[in-house]
Amino acid sequence: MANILVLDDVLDAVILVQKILSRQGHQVEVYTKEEDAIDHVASQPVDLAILDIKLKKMNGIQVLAEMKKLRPDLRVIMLTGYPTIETAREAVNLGAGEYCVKPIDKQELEEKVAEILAR
Amino acid sequence: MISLPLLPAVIIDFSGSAIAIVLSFMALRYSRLLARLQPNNFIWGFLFYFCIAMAAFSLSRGVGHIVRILLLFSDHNEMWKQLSPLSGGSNTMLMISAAAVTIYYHKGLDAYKALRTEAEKLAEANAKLQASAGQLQELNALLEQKVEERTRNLSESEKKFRNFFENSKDIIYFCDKDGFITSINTSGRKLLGLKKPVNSVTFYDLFAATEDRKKYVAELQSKGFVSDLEMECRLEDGSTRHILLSANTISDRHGKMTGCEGIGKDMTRLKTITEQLINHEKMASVGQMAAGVAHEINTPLGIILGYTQLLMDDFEPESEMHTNLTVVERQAKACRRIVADLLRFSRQSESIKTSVDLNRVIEEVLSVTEHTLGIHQITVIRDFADELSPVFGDAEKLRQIFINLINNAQYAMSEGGKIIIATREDDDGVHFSVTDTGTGIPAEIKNRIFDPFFTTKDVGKGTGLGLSVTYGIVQEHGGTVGMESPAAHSDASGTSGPGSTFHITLPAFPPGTAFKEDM
Repeated sequence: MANILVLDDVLDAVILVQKILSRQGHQVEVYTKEEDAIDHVASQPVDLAILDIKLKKMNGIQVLAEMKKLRPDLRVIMLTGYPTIETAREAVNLGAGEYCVKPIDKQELEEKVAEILAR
Repeated sequence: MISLPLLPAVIIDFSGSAIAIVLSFMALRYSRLLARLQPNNFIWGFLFYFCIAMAAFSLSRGVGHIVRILLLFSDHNEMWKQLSPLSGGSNTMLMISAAAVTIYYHKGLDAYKALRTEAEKLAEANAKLQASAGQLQELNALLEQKVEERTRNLSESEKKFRNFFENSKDIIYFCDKDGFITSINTSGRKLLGLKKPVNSVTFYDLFAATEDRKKYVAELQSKGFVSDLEMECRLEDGSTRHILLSANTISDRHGKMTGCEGIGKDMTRLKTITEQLINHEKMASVGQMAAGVAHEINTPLGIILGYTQLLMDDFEPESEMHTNLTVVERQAKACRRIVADLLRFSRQSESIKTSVDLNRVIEEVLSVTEHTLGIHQITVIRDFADELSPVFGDAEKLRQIFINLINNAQYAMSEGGKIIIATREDDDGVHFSVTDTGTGIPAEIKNRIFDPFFTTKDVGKGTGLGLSVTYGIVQEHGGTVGMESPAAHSDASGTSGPGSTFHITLPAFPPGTAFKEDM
């Protein structure tokens, strides 16, 4: 089972993802603040990060860049309610493995996580 | 034979006769000079004529005496005897004439003067007449010149106004008192689509709205003019035009209305553009609002959906709670579709654009929908252009357009009918239209059909986003969408209803055209 980090500025949303993935047996840590999430990646083992793009202080792309600097092999799923070709391209170029549009279905989330962890 | 003692008397007679002749002629000459010197002097005038008579008498008498003397001295007494009565008669007559001059001179002079006065008057009158004739001739020439000038000016003016009348791009018309058109320019006939003789058409018949016609008539009658009246004209072919009308009455010298004249400006295009612009602005602001709402709803909706699905795992699939949660999940997913549609309408969803063959896209949609349409007694007629340039677009979204339009057409034809799908291409781009033979779209809702959540369908049958999404997709592709009802296609008439036609135009993307990011 994997260590998964979830970052979203909406607490209910991160707890939901935590509950869904915990039931799959994963160790899930959730954050609503960008710097706390980055600190976690810097200090703790993380296999997969699920990042929202629209955050309060930074945007998800910047957080992705910071995390990739700390841990280049980190697998990342980007989530967004505002999908654009530009952010998708940027995210993929920075090493994101998936780019999903919210609201994401439980089953779809489980499948995406399983798929990226299997790579 | 003459005896000698008479000789002195004969000599005196001879010389006296000769002297008398000479003196009488001298007196005549002198009197003539006097008469010439003072023509109006009565004495000199009388003297002159008296001298003439006396000179003639002296000549007759003197010559008679001299001839007598010469004949007597030459023994021609017989000849003198024959001439003597003639000489005596002549003398008598001339003496009588001298007496007549004395007696009748003043009367003759009066008559002469009277005659001369009359002649002078006549001459004066004649001179005046000639002067008048000259003046008249001069006036006549001036008049002719002025008439010529006025005629030329009138002709130029007539030509100027005729050109203005004929070349004007506006409608210029004249009517009689009953409203029958007496004259209308070429643009007017063309813009109003008048094919039959214009004098059989009343201008009142052209008004599509009774209120406009009443206002036109009332203002003409009360004020004598109409200024900038917006009227909707109904043409013979059933189409309408928006005209900005100004007119005024024509009256006779007693002020009685004999007709009216007016100018109409075709505002159809301007009105259409204005409406499109207003609609575009409205749709843009509605789209912006819809996008904002959609984004705000997305997150809580995702959480509701996620927790529902999470809870469903906690209950047996056959349990009542699981069934209830399934309903919540289904409705949450319905909300998610609406949010997705709103984002598509507001052009907030991303597109993957490629070169797309519209004929193929339509065929793909029909391959899925035609069977269902057949079940509902709806026949699909394909009127595709053989050669059609591709468009640069998102094939999935373009499919969505056809699905939405076909769904609406099917809904409008509950008793069956026809769907005519046509594709064309010209300089403006690639055109396609979807026509149905259904119930048509009432005029009062035509402006609202593209509004989000506007629907005429029963609750639960439609979200009112189909045409909004279509509008958003067309806008995103740089195209235009329009609708007309009754339907434009001739095949659509006379089946089950007036029908409606949706026209969509997209920019053509011929092979080899450079890709543009902003498309």
